[in-house]
Amino acid sequence: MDESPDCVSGNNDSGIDKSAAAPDADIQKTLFFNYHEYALSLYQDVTAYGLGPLIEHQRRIIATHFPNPYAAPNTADAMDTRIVRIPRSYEVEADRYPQFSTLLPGDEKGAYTDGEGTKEFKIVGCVEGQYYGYTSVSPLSRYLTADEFLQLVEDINKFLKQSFDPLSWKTFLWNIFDTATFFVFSHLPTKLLSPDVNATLRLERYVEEQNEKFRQKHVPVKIIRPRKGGYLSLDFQIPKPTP
Amino acid sequence: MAIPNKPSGQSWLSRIKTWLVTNPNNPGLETKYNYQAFHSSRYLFFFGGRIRTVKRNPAQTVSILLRNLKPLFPVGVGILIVLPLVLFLVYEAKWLWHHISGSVVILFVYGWIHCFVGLLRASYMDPGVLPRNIHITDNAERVGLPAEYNSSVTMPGYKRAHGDMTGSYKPQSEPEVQIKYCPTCKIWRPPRASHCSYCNVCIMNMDHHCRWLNTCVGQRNKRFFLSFLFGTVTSCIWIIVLSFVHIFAYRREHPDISLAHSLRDVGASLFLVIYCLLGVIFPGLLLFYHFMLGITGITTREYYQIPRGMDSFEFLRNIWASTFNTHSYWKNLMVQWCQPRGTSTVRMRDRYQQGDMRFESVEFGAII
Repeated sequence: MDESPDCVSGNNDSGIDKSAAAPDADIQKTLFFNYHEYALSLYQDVTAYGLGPLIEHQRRIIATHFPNPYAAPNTADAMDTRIVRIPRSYEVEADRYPQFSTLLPGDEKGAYTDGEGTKEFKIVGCVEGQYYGYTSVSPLSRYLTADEFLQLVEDINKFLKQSFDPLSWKTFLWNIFDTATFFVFSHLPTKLLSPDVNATLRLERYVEEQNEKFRQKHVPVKIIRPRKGGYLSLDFQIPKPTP
Repeated sequence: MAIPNKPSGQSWLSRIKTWLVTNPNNPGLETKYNYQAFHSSRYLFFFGGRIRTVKRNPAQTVSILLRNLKPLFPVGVGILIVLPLVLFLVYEAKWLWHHISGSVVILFVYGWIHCFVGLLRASYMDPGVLPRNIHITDNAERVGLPAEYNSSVTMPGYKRAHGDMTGSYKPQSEPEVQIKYCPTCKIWRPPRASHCSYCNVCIMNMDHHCRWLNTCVGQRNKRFFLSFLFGTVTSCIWIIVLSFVHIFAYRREHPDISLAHSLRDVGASLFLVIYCLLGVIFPGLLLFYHFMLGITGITTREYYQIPRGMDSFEFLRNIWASTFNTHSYWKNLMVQWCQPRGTSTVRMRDRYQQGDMRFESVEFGAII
């Protein structure tokens, strides 16, 4: 493994692990990483005395949190909150139904690490008012443990499977019934009986319950309703990280 | 950037006209609902955003007449479908009801309704539009996109233990999926989603953009499209069979009447036979084509992406090695044809929230 601090893990732009030159046919050469993240080399250092000058650095910082597209621009929400995006994983059933990654950003095999296995979000650089670190670990790790995250995402994945799996018996029977009756039942309020709509609404309710739990425990994390984001990524709204 | 909700000072007549046909790009349009703010797509909405079609594209290099008629193609197809129903009911139904059975007429009407409902729902409802700007990056309109977002990314896929379609065991070595960032919609697209330049939106599980329906066929309307094809093919075949039965029975009863005279009595049947023979060709071929795509587990877009220089076995092995293939004809068909529709992710009839970025178009230089 390359020991330089810049890029210890195998992650690079094409996602191919350089260290997989070992002649072992079972190793997957393609590693999973959070494709939302990107690296920045032009940033200001964050020091105890304030921000340094805006210069090109050798060692890049990784953008692990992103602007909030769900809040109207120039509102308090848009300026004070950020989104951590959990990507979809294609290793379960190859996109037959959407599944989100159960790993916290930074824990993936292809994530940027600093060689010491730190799982904390540590601020080192600033770009246009946003603070980032050297690794793929996101500020979400400040609020959720890996186990809590795993539990949460596994539950959400279960709802998604019920909702979108074309090979389940329920979907098959509903399809036959619906097709025979000219799809009338998927248009009227009876569509609530169909497995896909039903599971989608239960997922929304589950996300609301989780958000309520976070509010009661005073954890400033909010899960964005997956339907609003088109099931493209699981978005967690967090307060903007500051040093 | 964000469209203000201007109260409309229009008369009730123009309000009704706007409700009937809504072009989201009209300046001064009141933006109460999402469909009125959806100006970044190329959709035209009717009946208060409940149904939609794609606007004509002035930039297309086809004849002006064809360009302007494109939104009306589904209506044209509808007329072509309604015509045999009318002729059948007027000329054939009575004879068939009394001489064979009422059930053949009812079966025909059942198949025909499938065809018609399939056509309407496939062409005028949501094909599976994905929201925009979900994966936008900081200051995209000022600094552009990160370099990592410009190339497609390879992710590990689902590793199946079975072998290839010849039955020999060969573990899949590199099951991979390609994920691409759509620079227009500013989202990381799932592997089978695709951006349609006619509709100017990304569609979930996009199959193809259908000219005759003037919309895309994607996850949410594929079953209606297939129902339309099935209904057309079965109705046509049913009409051909029944009309021939009528013609032969007539010839048997009146063997002495000449062909020219018998046209008076069974002319409609002959017309229906010829009409449906012509009408079954294209949908029939299309249905067969989709069946073959279904059992091999690929979409129309993936079919066109496979290099043409390959021989047929290599072609089929490639498909079988794809990570999306379930290695079973029946399961592949189910996955392709029975995808759950799910719920609409970009709901047109929801109230528009000012500044909702899912409807804006972010270009380098401005948010339009």
